[in-house]
Amino acid sequence: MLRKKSYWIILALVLLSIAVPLWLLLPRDPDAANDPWETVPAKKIKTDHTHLLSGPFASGSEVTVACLACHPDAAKDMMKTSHWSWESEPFKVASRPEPVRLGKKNAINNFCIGIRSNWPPCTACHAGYGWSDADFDFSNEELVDCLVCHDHSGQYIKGDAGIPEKGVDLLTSARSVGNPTRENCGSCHFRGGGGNAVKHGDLDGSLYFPTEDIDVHMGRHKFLCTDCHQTTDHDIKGRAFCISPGAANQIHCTDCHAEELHKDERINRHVATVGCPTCHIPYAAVKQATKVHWDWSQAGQDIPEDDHEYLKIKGRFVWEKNIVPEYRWYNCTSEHYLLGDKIDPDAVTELNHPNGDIHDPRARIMPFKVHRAKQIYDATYNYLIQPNTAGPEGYWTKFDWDQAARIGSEAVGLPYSGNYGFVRTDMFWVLTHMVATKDKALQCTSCHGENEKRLDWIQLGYSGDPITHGSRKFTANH
Amino acid sequence: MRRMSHFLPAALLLVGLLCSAAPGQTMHPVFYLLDEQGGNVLKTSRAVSPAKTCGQCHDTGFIINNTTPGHAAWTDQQAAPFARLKGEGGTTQADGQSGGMNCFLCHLEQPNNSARLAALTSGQAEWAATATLEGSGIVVKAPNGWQYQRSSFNSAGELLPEKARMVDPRSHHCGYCHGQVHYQATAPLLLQAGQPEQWTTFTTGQVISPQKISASGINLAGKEMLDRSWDIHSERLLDCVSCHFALNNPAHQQADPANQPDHLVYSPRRLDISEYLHRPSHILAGSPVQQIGAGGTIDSPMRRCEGCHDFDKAHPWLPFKARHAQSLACETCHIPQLYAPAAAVIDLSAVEAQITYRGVDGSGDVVHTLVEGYKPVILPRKQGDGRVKLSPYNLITTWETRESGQVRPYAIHHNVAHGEFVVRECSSCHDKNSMLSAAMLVASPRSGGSLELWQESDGVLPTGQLLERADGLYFAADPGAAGFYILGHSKVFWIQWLGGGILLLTLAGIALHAFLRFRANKKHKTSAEQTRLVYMYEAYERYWHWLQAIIIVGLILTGLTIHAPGRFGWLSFAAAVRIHNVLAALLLLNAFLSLFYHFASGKIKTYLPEPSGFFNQMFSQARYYLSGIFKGEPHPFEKSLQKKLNPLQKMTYLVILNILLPLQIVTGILIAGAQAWPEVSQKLGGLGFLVPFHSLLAWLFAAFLILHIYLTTTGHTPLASIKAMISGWEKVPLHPEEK
Repeated sequence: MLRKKSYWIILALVLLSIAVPLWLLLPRDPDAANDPWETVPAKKIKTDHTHLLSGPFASGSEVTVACLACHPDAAKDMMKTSHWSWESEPFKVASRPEPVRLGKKNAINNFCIGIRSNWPPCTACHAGYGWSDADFDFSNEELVDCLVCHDHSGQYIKGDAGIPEKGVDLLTSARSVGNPTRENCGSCHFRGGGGNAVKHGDLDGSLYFPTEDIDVHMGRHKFLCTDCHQTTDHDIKGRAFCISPGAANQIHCTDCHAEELHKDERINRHVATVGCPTCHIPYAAVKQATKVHWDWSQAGQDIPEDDHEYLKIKGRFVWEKNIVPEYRWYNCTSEHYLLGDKIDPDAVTELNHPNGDIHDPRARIMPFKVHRAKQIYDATYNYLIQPNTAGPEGYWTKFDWDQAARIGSEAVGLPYSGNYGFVRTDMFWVLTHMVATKDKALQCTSCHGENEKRLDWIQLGYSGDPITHGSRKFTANH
Repeated sequence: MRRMSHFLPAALLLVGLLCSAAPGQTMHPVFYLLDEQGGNVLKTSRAVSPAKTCGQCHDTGFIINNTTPGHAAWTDQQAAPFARLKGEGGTTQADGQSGGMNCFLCHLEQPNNSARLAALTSGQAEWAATATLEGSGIVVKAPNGWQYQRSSFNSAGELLPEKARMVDPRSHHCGYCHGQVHYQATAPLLLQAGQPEQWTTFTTGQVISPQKISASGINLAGKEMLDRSWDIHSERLLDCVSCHFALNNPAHQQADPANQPDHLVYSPRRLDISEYLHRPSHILAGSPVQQIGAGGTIDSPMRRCEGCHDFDKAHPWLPFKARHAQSLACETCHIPQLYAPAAAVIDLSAVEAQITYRGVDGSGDVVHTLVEGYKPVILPRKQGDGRVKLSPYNLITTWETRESGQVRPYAIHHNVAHGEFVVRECSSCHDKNSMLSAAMLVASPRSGGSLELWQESDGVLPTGQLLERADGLYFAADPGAAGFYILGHSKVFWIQWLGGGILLLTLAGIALHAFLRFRANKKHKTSAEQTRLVYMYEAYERYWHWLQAIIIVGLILTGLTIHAPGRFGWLSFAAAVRIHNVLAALLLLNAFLSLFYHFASGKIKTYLPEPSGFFNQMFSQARYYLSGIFKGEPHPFEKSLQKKLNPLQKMTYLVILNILLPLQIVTGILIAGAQAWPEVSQKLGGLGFLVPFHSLLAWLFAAFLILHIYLTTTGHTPLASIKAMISGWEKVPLHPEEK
């Protein structure tokens, strides 16, 4: 009987008659949200270089030559990137006849202001060896520093002009190389502006081994920098807003996360106006205080010094921790002050104004750490001066602003009138790190209503709280 | 009034022009502060009379007569349980004079409630309204009374504009009397428990705050996991007056849809704003007594949940939406737990009132003890439209004397949860331990004293029993007594015993019969009978038979899960219901098609009993089964293509297919149909009758199934009939004539 086909057909028909209606009529599970893990690259496997390098290495360049023996294109690829060139691709600016390249090489900020004439100490963070003056050979492959990003020995330290410090064991360092860790990136990026946690507000030493309270990606999910800053042929994704004017090669939260992934429809409606970091980075400088105010005009006095209060060489500071960010419209591009641009000495000059406004469909409200400073400017020509601070004749040695201004202006190629003053400047640092766990995200009452009032509606261009006045499509007040 | 009348057109103009007033701006004109005789207090230095002061523009006579009771003065009924708690004076007294209105308490931006309470409790009730102005710079408390500050008035004797800022009541205004309201984002919430003046928090533990519970400063068990706000509506920036609006407020007024023509969706006609400002009703939606038009019903125009939320769209995942909406108030699932302590027992029998709280572990200073929160008890409440819905309550026992006490319910409508904190599991209610019949502690163990439950109060019915347990007296809610039958939870025990008994008897009988046959077979080896093969069952018959069989088994198995989801947990309750319904629909379809087939092919005849001699045939068949079969006798009835069923079978199938199966189908449809046609199901007995009946029939079907399978073994060989139902061919013993 078991062999008869017709019996099995009847049985199959019976089972299908039940299974098909059940399958059709039973409710489906709601679509599983896109799994963000699908876009996170797999952790690369480290190749042990212990037996591949024999040394001895007398200088960093000798290490580089050894690296290039097996990785011949590495230096070439590296030299195309901004970690090497310290400047961007050329871009058009309204105030200049020709396209401009902007980068650490020639930019100005309101921290230590600029690197020209100050190369040796500033270029300690250059991914190369020997940039000690304006004549650095950017075409020499052997000057590329492989170890700063690839060293895993922990004892590789760069000094002035990027030369490894005395006592660094280059062989150990070379043998230890692997894919960049947080220590590699953080050794420079956490310490911008002259020390740990000074500059960014969302990048500091607490991110070496953060708990999930500090950053959920790096803390709970053990992300390395390179998991978001994905790299192909040394081209590292992500743009430093303070330097880069454009939006290409940018990292977005939506590279991994679905855009409208909130269970609450009302929150999903915010996505078109509010950037992800606004709600998910409720505070900057969560663990370690960051510098929020730097008054250069007070420098030079012989009064008690404190790294967090006053230094003779630098002036007076204010540091803050657990900062409530300031919010601006931002469409991923910004205006940059270029040396020589005129300023209004009675107003606050924004060195890198975030572009975007309430009418710009690409703009979102984003959180910023704002660094406010008073820095030196030419009172006759009305532009900012990039002073010479380091070196034997610099301000940090001679405490002479006039001389510092003269040397610095010569280095950047701008005339100096001899008449200097100090003017207020602001600099905006968009917050993208120190993402909080989702239960710490902002609530409705953080921005709307009379409670926290994180957003200044009028300043953002609304006529009032959109909850009562309507969305930006309807109520822009200009 | 006369003085200010020319201001009104100007005010209207302002309304039109200043639509985009900056936040925090009010447009209230300046005014004199008047005393009870109508004189300017700057001259008379007497207490401010809000009725006279505000009466310069607003019709305070109308307001006083149209105020939610308690907002002017506490009525004795409301004050009674707590009168002794408050001590002498206390807030049972009316504020001020004439009607007790203190407009400033609710309409000043920052009124001084503690100064007001101090005035009331120190016997200076007539200065209570004046005291409310303390701290604003208008009046200052001096040792010999209150002194008005000239600097807050202009040269004409009117209050300066910045002092005359009158606003719509915000939640913190309501909180002065009603309960704890906490809006500061950065300050962690700390409980202010144990204050009877904060009525709502005291009686139910409700706290109004948009802050996350995990961000509070309370010693609360499991706080880190409570990543939700205290109250979702306050988080979404609603105020008390968003739902408890003044009944004639033109911004919130909605025409009663019952009074509108069907085709009109919205009526723009409403009270003019200046008329409203002149005569604002202070009867707030949701007050226990609303006398406007509807004659004091509980649910007069009131912003209930359904006024803003669309139930169907909000719960796309919920099966039997209408059924849940009919039986449960939204609060039952959306306020599953309160996280602040609430009063549980108030003992007024001693000199000093003793209050015991629930939701707190241990006694002592509530600020430091471990707060655990509590789950409300679910009670049926008759709403204004006559419907009874289950809603959450706290119960407070008041011992007036050591011997007698009363348990009273206090409604819970706030602290609505959101998302994962809402009850979503079917098994929360559809299970042996259902939250709908949970018990609440109402008295600690003590000797003597009798507790009585409340009479119907505010529509809440005292359905439940007082249970004595080791750690005290509990009130156990009984939704069944209020007419609610909850699948998977409610049980009718005699049905279970009866049905189970029949099943067991069947099993026992079969076991005995089989044993006897087995023994008899050994004794009388059946001689190899001659048989012939008959094509008894064609393909369709076999198909519908096995489909029916599997469906019925499936229905029984899923039915068991629905009946007792805990014990028969092979499926979740929700899955069992869904599969049961799909299978039931398939059964209906299968049965109908089969019936049609039988009629169309004429095979229905096999089921019809022959008219003459039927009962005799039935008896001879029965005799065969009961004795002949053991003796190796042949079947009294020979099976053939035309006569497939013996008389007993015909009888059985007649009953099964014409009575039991239709009844089961109809009761099943009515149970599922309680969702769509609740009145029909209700008229035909309601779930409380239909479900137990359906269960009893299920027992009978199960018994039949076992009996049927057993009886198929009584063919030529034990497996002959089963094989025949698979292959279609049956070995039929030759009739003596045929041999």
